[in-house]
Amino acid sequence: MHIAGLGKHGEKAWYQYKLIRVYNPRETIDMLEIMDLLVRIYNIFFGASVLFLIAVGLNIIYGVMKIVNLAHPAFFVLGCYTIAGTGMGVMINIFGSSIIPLLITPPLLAAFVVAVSSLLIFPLFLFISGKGDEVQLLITYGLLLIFEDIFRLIWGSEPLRASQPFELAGSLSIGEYLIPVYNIYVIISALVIALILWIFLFKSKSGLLLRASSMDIEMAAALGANVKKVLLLTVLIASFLAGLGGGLFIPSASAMLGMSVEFLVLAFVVVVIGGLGSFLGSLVGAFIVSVLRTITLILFPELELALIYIVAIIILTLKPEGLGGGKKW
Amino acid sequence: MSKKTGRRDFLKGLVSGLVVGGIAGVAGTEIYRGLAPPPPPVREEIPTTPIKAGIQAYLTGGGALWGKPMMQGAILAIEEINERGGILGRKIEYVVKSETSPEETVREYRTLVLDEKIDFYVGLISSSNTPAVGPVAEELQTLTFFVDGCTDFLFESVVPDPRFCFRITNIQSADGVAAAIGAIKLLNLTEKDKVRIAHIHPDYAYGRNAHAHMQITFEKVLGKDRVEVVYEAFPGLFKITDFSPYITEIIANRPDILASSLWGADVVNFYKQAIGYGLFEKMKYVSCIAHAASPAEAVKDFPDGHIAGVHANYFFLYPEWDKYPINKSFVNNYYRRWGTYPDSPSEGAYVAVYLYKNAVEKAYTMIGRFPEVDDIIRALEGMTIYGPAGPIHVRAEKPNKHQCYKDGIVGISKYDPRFGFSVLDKPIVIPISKITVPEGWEGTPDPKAGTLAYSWIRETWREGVVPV
Amino acid sequence: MVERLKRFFGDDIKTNFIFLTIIAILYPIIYVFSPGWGVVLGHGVTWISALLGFNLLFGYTGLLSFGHALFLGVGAYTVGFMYKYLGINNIELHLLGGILSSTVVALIIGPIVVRYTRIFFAIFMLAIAQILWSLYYKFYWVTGGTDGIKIPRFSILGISLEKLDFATYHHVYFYFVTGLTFILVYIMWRIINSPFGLTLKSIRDNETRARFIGVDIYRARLYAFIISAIYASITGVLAVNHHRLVTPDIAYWTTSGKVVFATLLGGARIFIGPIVGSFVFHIIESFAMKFIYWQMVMGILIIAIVILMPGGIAHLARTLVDVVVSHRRRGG
Repeated sequence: MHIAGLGKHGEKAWYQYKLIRVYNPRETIDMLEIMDLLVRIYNIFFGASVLFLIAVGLNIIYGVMKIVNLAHPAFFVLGCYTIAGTGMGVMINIFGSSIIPLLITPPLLAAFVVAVSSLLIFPLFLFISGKGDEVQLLITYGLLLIFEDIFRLIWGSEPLRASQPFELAGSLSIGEYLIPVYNIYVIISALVIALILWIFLFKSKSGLLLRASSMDIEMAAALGANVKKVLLLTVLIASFLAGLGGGLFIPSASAMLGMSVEFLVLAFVVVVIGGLGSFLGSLVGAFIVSVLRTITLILFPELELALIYIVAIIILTLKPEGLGGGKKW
Repeated sequence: MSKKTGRRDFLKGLVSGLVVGGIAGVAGTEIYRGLAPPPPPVREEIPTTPIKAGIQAYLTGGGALWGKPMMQGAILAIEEINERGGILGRKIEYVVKSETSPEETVREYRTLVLDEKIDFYVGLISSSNTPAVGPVAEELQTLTFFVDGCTDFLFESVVPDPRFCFRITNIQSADGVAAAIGAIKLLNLTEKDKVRIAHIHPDYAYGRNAHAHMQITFEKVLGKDRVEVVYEAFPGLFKITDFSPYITEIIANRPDILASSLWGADVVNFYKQAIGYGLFEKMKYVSCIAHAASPAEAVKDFPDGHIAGVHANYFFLYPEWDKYPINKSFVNNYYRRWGTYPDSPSEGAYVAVYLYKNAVEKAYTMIGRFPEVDDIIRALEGMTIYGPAGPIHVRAEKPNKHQCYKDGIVGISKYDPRFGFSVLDKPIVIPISKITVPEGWEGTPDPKAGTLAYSWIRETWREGVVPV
Repeated sequence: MVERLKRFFGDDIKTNFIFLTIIAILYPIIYVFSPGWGVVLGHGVTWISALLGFNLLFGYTGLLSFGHALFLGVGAYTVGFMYKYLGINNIELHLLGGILSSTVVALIIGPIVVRYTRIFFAIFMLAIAQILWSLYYKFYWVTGGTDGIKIPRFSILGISLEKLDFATYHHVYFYFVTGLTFILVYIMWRIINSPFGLTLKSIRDNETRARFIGVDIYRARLYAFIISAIYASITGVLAVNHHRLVTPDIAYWTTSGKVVFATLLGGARIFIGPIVGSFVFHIIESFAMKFIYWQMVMGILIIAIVILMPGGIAHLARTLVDVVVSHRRRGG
């Protein structure tokens, strides 16, 4: 039989050919495997986008205030809940099922809500900036716990969804494959957000102020920067980004309690791999973590999480400033 | 106090002595007329203090889709009983605690028993938690009804000879086997030369059991050579929000069927994202559990034509309402009280409370006073009652002593505009006796899968034959 | 007199022993009234060892470990594996195994991590703890994943406790652990008041000066790290014997957070701090868990305590003594 000569790999491919009934086996095999690979890469980008959106705010807060903000993922989840619990319903009442506003407005609404709520806890950040690490960790951990129950208090304990944009956007079909369009939108948005943030940080005066403060906040103060204002700006930007991320992410998943803690450890690894307090680092870190997750998932699922931490440790040992180029920002 | 009891005991002895003598006399003279009814026992006064129930359910996170209906089912039963005057005149009070990780769950369970001093307990969804709480229940000697947490491990290896724990839901092996048989029959898998199977299950006792039992059933019924496993994944329970990497891998391996036991928020996230990747058009999804709880939220727009398992337990449309009024009244009462349709966990919790009630009343008719825990347990063992899902039987002997059994049900998913969510269509009922380890079967748990059911299927089923 | 009183409230081993003795006397009374709170005291006494170990590293050496769950996990899973694969349920062997395995782990990672200080040390510990956590969590057929490993009641010196009813069993457990804690407290006291302890304090207060006067900082930190690991693993061993269930939770980072908070609550840098902190923390936790929104209660308590009582309970008590004493002195 002709399959025998093809070996194990060929047999599998032959079966694939049979399954989808395409007349030219050779060509199809290649196409299919390339498509498999492309979809995986696409997934890596999607995963990296989400991780970047969570991690970048964590990094900005650490960069300027030197606070490891354990409550940061709760900002992200607050963005998720704002949309899944309330926002999406309102949006649908206003826009019906027209897709463009449903794509654009929820993230902005979430970002706005999260930024405003961050103002409420700003005094707490002011209090802990400059305090010992243990105080910062504990207080932000306490905040994380409080947030979890606030979600529960407002939106109840059941998982919530806001999948209308995801469904309305539909799927793009490439040959035999379907790819959700919404995920492409998330990837593009993340890139746009990264670009805008880069322009803000490197081309604007406020950005300069932030970067200067991240180098040496006392020096910046001595040179006339209003430290309180800088800190406020930092918290606002970080929470705005987290909200934006949450609002973007949630149509593709559901908002549930306990999510913050899951995201926290991942975001944390992203930050460690990329470099604490480095903007570029969040991009690099998010991408590396996403690649590692995909690869381990295929090759050795038991090590899925362990490998990420192992890489983080290797990087901490060899290059404690992270892979983000070593520079701040 | 002791004096009083002494006198009462004496009186009781005297009275029962008289009664027995009298009966003996009567029976002696009319021996040919058949058996006389047993003497009614001497009634003692029943305390008027309320009975205290402890309820423990997932109230947060991905399991809330199961925990909330479970709590509602238990509360509905308690309210119904209280409205009709309680159990032997005693009202039921209840305390609700939260189910979380095994360690915390055990802690809360201890609080219920030690501080709240509950008389009986109804709770638990997760198969991680029942094996953790089971030994504690035996230790603290508290009558405990596990609504779910169906892993075979509980009564096979963790608590092989239980006294105080009972479990209402069908055992996992029945669940996995029922779904696989349902898939074979409803999808006509016997007609295919080769079936490529992918697996995705949550990474804990339930998912591992489901994986083993579905796989062995496919292998036995279809023949080992015709089944090929192309992909297996065990994502952590409620740890993953983005399933797209898993979905891509599943599609890339091109299975014919995807066997899955994802539940709660996991199944919602999975199927919504899988639709985006066109997974459901490329293969048949065989779930043993997806339709079992909160279908209005969990499977709202689930694709049609896939295997819808309900944990081998209960879907509110079956048994048909007009043929089985118990189910109809349950659905109506539940809907009136909570505004949603009942599901497998709510039915389980509801039946648990009624099992307790029936056992107490049965024991009372035999011993004439409000029964102690041991009396209730004796009454429960081997008991059969009719719940909304049909008759449910409490097994009294090993293996799986104290496990409850009812017939399994599997169907095909179909969106129903009457309800606004996907329902279970074309149900096939699978007699439980055909798919579960029989009472008294002596075998050893399979070393790999760790369950008795696995070895039972492997050793006793004939290859290539559908057992039902 | 005043000096003696002040010393008594902070720098005297007797204070610790008296405190533990009071708890040991109160325990049966509390258990009779409410077994649940008796069990909470059991948690309290179990955790003292880990907090003492953490405090040696944090309070006395100045290294903030945000991954102490690592060693609790090592202790816990040593017990789990000893039972699952070797069928051992002697608590003495469990303790021995926990001490050995944590020493090995500390010797492997210690030389790397003690090079770092401040937030990097914290992150390093966190990352390593998370590796082990994810291994416990993912290798289902070895560790039981989230189901964990169930272990039976332990036996002491070959005497099985399997037949006892729960209350008696719990009393045995409580007094066994209390007895052990007396020993552990005494050893830690000797360590901290030895020249080695003084070295650690000098490193904490001024690393440069310590190095200047010829202290081998690296080695001192490594020893402290190993001792701390052993102490933490003992709690791991005891805690799973208390729960009789080994799950990855005990190795998760939230457990590390618990260790940090409980120590700070009692008072870091003060010897008795962790001992008081362990009990108060578990009482607070059990209290918070009575609420439906217990996470919020807990979060608010954490924030309030850290802000309002930065030195912890022991520090507060000491300040109160100071105030009372100076007031009386002024009055007299």
